[in-house]
Amino acid sequence: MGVGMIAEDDFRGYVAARGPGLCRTAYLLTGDWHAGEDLVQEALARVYMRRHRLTSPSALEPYTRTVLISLFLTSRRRRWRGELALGELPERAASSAADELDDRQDLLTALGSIAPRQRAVLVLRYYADLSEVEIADALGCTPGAVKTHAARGLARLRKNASVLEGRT
Amino acid sequence: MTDLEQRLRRDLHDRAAAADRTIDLMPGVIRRSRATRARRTALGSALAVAAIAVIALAGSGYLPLFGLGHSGSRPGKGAVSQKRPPPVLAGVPLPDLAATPPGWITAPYEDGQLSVPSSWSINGDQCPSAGAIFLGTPVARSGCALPSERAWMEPDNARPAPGSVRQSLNGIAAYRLTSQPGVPSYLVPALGVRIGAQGPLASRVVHTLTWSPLSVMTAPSAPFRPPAGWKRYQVHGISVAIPGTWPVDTGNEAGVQCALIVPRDKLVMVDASSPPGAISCPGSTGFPSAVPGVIAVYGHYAARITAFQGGGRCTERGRVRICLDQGTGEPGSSSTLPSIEVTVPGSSPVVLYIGLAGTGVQGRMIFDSIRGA
Repeated sequence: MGVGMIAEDDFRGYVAARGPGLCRTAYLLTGDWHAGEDLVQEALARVYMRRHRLTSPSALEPYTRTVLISLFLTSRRRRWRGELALGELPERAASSAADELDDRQDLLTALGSIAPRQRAVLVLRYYADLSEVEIADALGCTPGAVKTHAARGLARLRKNASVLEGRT
Repeated sequence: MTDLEQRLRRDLHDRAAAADRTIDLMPGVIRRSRATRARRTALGSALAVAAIAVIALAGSGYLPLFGLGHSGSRPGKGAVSQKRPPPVLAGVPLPDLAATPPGWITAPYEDGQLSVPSSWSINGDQCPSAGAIFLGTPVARSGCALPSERAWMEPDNARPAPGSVRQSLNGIAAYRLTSQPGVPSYLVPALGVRIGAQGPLASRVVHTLTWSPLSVMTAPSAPFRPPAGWKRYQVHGISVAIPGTWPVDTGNEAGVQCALIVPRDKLVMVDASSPPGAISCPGSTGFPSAVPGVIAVYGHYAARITAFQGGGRCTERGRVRICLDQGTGEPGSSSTLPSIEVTVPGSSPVVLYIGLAGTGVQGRMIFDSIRGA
């Protein structure tokens, strides 16, 4: 395959097939569906403009993933992100939901409190089911660093989740 | 895997599934890539500032109001009519005029429309020699051989099958149906239709899918206000606004009954206060082309002369009741020149025909301007 093998139709097909999955991943990274959708659109727009540099349609997925993670981490490094996106209203009435739901909320809330790079590793590993090598490619680091981020992320998650559970 | 890891995996999947929703990413992707490109260009040239403004306006859908409209690229072979996001005005998606290649004609049906070469016939109204498009009816034609080049748009309110691939045709979600190679066919839930085509132009035809002008006129949204320079006319107890440059003409009942009046950029008034006589209409002239304009038929026999069929959608606006004909949206003049019955209490109804062409925005403004005098 030579350079410039990604035709517009290939790209559209890729977006149609993988767009929803990318949005779900981005949603878990950002904690907000609309922010996730924006992130995916920004990533796809960048890939769209550079698609002629890719050598085959199979390169779209890892490249898009790398751009998506890069954009996510860059956005988290900014001091001010313009607005705080919330999935639900900040004020909520007391819930009578089951304890399991509370636990889940606590765990995902705790996920939002850990470092962005650790969060990215946990989402890619436990949601996207990527290997350490694939995650390393997406983050631009070594597989060893991925292991370290995962271990520290899980430890932080366990600690934060238990704090949240103790508070309720 | 530890308990925490298992729980995290399960919770992430549950959370993502709970938040999942249908989306159409491509319009945003194209818009963003254009904006990015424009930003880069702006760094080197002051002229790029104007380009960004134009792109921003196009993205917000305001250009049609200022007469600039869809000056974007024309479609080439296949799915190339999606170079920019489809225009939207006040939340109402507009027909993408750039989806119709030069020399082609639009074939509206209900809320959607396809475009085909002007040599094609519509619904086999004449024995087609070049090609044919069938709207709202099965692909069939008695007495004529079916042309090898054909397209169709049929009502289909089915839901897409689970796992079916979602694509975007000019910003409208479409689901590819299983079909033979070279015969693209799509389910389009937003329009309640299925479309398809066969022949050398098949792909190009299905990629002209866009909203119809009628969909703009009937879409629920805030009223479209007429711009400055429009004039308001009173017709038998109602009033309607039209562009100030349009002249007012008169027509006769035979012209209405035989569908011979073409209200091109004008208001045609028809007095129907006398009972209609027996008339003989000339043969069918085929499907009428879409032109902007208004025909107002007033008087005691207006509904009879126009053969207005009640039972369509109605709305109350102030003191007037506005009803669409039951057949509105059917192929032909019911899509391009729909009839609307306007009734003021204590007065006989006025039947208005509003010519829908282009984006349909002008027709929508006329429709929204109807009120009691």
